Amino acid sequence: MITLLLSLALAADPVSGVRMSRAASLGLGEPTPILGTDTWKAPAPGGFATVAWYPGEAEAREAYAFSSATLRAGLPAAGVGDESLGDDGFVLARRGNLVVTVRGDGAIDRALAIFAAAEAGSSTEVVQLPGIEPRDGFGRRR
Amino acid sequence: MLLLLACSAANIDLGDESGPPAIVAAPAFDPLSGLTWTFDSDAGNTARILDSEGTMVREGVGAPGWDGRDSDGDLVATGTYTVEVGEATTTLAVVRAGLVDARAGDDGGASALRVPLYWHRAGKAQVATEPFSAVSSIDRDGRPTSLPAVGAALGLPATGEGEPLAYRWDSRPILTLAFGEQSELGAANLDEGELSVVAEGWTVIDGSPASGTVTLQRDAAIGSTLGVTEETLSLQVVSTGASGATYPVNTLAVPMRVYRVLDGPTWYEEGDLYRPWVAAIDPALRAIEGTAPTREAALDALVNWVYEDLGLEYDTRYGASAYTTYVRNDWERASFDMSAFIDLRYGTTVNCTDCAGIIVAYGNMIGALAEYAIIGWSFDLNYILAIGGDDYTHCPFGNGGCSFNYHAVTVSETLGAVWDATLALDGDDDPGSEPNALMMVQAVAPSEYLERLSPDRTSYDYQSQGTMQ
Repeated sequence: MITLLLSLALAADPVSGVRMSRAASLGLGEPTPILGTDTWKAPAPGGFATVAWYPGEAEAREAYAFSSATLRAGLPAAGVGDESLGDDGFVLARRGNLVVTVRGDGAIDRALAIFAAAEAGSSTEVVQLPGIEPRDGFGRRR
Repeated sequence: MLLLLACSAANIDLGDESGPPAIVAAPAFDPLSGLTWTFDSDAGNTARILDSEGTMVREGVGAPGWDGRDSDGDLVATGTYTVEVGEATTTLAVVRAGLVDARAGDDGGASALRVPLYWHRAGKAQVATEPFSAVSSIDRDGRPTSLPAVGAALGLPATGEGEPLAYRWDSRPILTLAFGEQSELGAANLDEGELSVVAEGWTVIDGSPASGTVTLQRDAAIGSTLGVTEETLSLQVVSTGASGATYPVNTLAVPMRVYRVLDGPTWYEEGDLYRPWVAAIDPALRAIEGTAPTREAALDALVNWVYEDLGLEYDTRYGASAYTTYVRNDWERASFDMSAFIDLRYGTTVNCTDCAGIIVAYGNMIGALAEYAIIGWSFDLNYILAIGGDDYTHCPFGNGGCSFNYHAVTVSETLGAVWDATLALDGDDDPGSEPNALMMVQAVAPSEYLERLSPDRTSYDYQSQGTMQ
C-alpha cells in the first residue's frame, strides 16, 4: 500500500525538489535558502548552482521564462531537461517543476546530476519574507 | 628632610596644615598602579600599614612606596588603611579603579545618534546584544580583567566582546563606563569629590567613580565625513587631596572603533534583516573614507569602489546574475544576497542586477537612500565600458551580442539621478560612436542616462528597493 501511494505521488509529481542535504554529494558547497522562495543556492566549482522548486509545472515554466528573459539574448539550447539554455559554462534548465541554474565548468553534467537527485516533495522549507509588498517609487505601499 | 620615595607621580599634598606633613600621600590609590608617597625621614625610614580594624598588614615599607600588598605578597582588599611612620599617621583608601563595562548611547540625535549595528546579518550568525557581558569583575585572581575594545573585533566575536558602534557622522558619542563590582570605591569612605575622572577631549556629563558609573561625551563630533574612526579614549581616575591637588589613581584606555554613517538605515522595510552589519559596512566605509556626508557623495563613492576596486567583471557570456534573485518572478522583488557577496561566494562575475543590488544595499545600510530601477526592454547599446572590462564596446556579448534584454541601475527619486556600477558610459557628444570618453555613472540625470546608454527608446519601468538577505 505504501509502495502504491508513493508511486501515485511520483506519477502526479514526476520531478520535485532536491534536498539541501544533497548539496555535498553533488559537489556543491554549503547551501543557503533564498528567503521567500523554495529555492536554495550553493557554491559550485567556478560558480554556483541554484535549485528552485515550484508546486506546479506551470509555475516552473513561468519561472523558467522569467529567468531566461534576464539572460543575454541568443543563448543556445543546452539539451538539459524539458527546457534549457546555455552551454557547459552556464545552464538554465527546467525539468518538470524544478528549475536549475548552474554556473561553472561542467555545468551541463552538474545540472543533469541535480535533476537526477530530485525527490518528491519540497526542496527546502520556504523562508518567508516579512511584509514585503509592492511599493511605488518612493516606498509607499500600492 | 623630605625623602622622595617614588618619582612617577607627584603625590605631595601639603594640605592646610601649617607645616609640611610627616606623610604625604594621595587620599586614594589603586595598588595595581602603585602608590607613591613621601614621608619625613625624621619621623622614620619605613612605614607600617594597618587595616581598618587595626591589624598590621605590612611593615618595613620604604622606597619606592607601598605596592598595596600584605606581608604575604597578596593584594590587600579595598578599603581604608592607616599608614604609620614613627609617631606620624595618615589614612588612605585602597581602591581598584578598573572598568568592567562600557556602553555607548545617544540622546536621540540632538548631539549624538547611535545607529544600531549587528556584527553579521540577523539570524545568519551571532548577534551581540549585550555589551561586555562576560566581564563581571576586576578583582578576579586579584587583577582586573582587561576591558574589551568597544567594537574592536570583526568577524564573529565571542559573547562579551562588545557591541559594534555606528554613529551618525556628526555625533558626539556618549559612553557610560562602569567600575568593577569589587572596586568598592564607596566602601573606601571617599566622598564623591575625592575621586573623579579626567579624559582629554571628553566631558563627564553624569556620575562619578564613587557612584560606580561615569557617563562621558566626546567634546567634538566624531568626524566631518563618512568612514571609520579608530581611537582610544584615555581616561584618568584621579583623587583630590585636602589642598585641592589631584593625584593620578589609574589610567584606563577604552579602544573604540566607530563607523561614521550618513544616517540610520534607509530601507523601507524594517526589522532585524535591515539593520546594518559590520561585516558589510566595514569594508565599504573604509573604501569611501573621507567622503562628504551627503547622499549623492556617498552613492558616488560606492559606485567608484564597486566599479573600480572590487575585482568584479561583467558576465559578458551569459549576462547572468550571481547574487540577486527576483523573488516570485517579480521585477520589484530583487533579493540581494549580501551574505554571499561579502565573501564573493559565487565568484566575481556579475551582471547589472547584482551591481544595482550592491549599491542599493550598501547605500541603504549607511543611510544613503537608494532604489534600483529596471530599464526595458531588449534594446541596442551605445558604447559602454563594462565593469572589469578593458575596452569600450557596443557589443559586450561579442559578435551579435549588442543589446540588453533589460538593465538594472540605482536611482534616487528625490535626487533625480542615476548611479550605475555595471558600466561606464561614453561621455562625449556622440555616445554611439568612437572615440569614447569615460563617464562614470554618478548622479547622472535619468534622461541623459537613457540617451547615452541606448539609441533605442527605453524607459524606467520598475522601481523598488528590493530585499536583502
